[in-house]
Amino acid sequence: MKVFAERTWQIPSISNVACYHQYSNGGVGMSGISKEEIRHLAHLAKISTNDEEIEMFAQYIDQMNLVMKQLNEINTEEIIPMTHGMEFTNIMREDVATHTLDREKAFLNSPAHETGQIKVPSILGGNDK
Amino acid sequence: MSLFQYKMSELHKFLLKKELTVSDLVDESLRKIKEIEDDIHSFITINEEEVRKVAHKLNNKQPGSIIFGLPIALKDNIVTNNLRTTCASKMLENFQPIYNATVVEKLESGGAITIGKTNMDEFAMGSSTENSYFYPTYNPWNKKMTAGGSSGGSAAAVAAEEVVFSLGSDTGGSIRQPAAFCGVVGMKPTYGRVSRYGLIAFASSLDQIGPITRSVEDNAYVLQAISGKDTMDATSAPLPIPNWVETLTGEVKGLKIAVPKEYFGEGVSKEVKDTIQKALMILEGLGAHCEEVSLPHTKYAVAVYYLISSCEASSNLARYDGIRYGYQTPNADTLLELYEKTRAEGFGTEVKRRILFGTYALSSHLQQDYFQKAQKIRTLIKKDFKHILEEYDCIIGPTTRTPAFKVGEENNSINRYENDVLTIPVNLAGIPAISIPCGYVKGLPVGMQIIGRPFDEETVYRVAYAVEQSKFTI
Repeated sequence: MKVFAERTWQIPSISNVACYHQYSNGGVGMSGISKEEIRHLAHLAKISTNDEEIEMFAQYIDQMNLVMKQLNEINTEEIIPMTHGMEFTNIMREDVATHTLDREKAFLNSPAHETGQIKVPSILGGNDK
Repeated sequence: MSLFQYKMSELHKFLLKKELTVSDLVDESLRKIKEIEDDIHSFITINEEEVRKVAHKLNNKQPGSIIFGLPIALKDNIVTNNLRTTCASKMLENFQPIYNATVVEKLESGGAITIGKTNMDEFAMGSSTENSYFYPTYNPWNKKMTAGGSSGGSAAAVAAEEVVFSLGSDTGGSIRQPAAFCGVVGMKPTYGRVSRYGLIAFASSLDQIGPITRSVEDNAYVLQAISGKDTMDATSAPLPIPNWVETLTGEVKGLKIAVPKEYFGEGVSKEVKDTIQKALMILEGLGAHCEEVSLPHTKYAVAVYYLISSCEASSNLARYDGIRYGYQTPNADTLLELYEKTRAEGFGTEVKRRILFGTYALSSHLQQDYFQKAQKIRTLIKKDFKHILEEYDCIIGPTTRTPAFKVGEENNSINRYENDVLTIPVNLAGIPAISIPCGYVKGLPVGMQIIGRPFDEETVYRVAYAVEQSKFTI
């Protein structure tokens, strides 16, 4: 068997990403994501961040953006997106109620609950938890 | 000789003949854990007191199933009733599930004994088990090396003979890569073969549970025990479960094996290439035909994977809000603060950056260029495999580009991501693949990957068994 005689393909190199960042100063540059955008994303994802983390996340997203650029090499206009691991469709079951979870058990891992309900901080103002 | 060097079928015979009791097996497991656990850290939780009681109860019962009485370990993202399940995250540090995953029900109803829960990268995001909230897992072959990941604890526990077998989960190679690094057999079944009910979700269209064992035969036994349609998982396949063990004949004569040139490209070490080539020559000697093929979209798999998995993760991990279960920050006055601080304090850095990248890629101005584009290229990757597997019975290449890497080496760098380029495409296509040990480089195991058609685990096992049986000639 004659295998691997010549190399016609290269694993995409991410090493150029590091070079880019020497010039981009961690997220400010050609297409660098802004700190404001990171703050907005963190707000959407409900994760509080400090300045140091914002810098780090910006650098990460910039690096990932460079990796993603290679996908533009392919014209995918006519391609149908793959949305599932396997193509099983219309998975149905009989519409019969079944027992799922006891109420008491459901509270076992809840950090705070009272009289059969989960407690959350006040939503409409005030400091009561 | 450790008891766990015997195959499952041999241990089963010992139990049937009453030459061993279930307590003997559990004692052996706990003894080995005491001896080695401080060095390798396979486990997050060890269920010592409970398993001794369970073993005592089983001592007087007749062994039915082949898994009866065997000490096993479960990756800590598989929920176990009343047994802490942490996902190696501060977020779930004290989480006590109130039900069993379907795979746990299947194994425990067959008499298997869950010795403990194994270490992993937090929420299965990583490939070295260094991203665990608790501690890294070290490779039993060389403690300066990682055990791989994310199922590093499950692979190390089997390699170090702490248990007979373990379960891991594989989203982009998380069973096969640590199995390769630790010199054990790891199977990622076809998507849908095994129920995901009770597997803590990372990327739902890619995640799949599978067995890690010391031999191919054991692996087939365990997969048989955990497979099947489950009403609790709508994506589980309504297909019969073949008897894979019966088909382990060592016979590969006439099989057509595809060898993708992309799996031997830049970044794959020469020693790994040579090791796999030797194994291919053995298969040819047994009458199989190996031919070079191309899977042209392989090079896009890493980018596609990190888009799809991060997008799915950003949605799946939205459930950790600090209210119904899991960590809750003590430092919040308002509901918004409670969410934001809980998630900031409960998740580790790798998890947070993937959630943010997923949120970013799903934002309205990028969704089409990023998420949908990735889904379309995923179609092309699947077609590559379909096209080749119409003509060939299976595909063979290395599992990883190199043997195990050093602890601490580039851990937080995205350079690590491209190491998974040989395992990721299989998850994107949803097809089955196994990693089996097929040689050593500088004292570290090398894994060979055998990839099959959807739901054709039979051929994958058959070829794996043939290589395993001839291993003394490599």
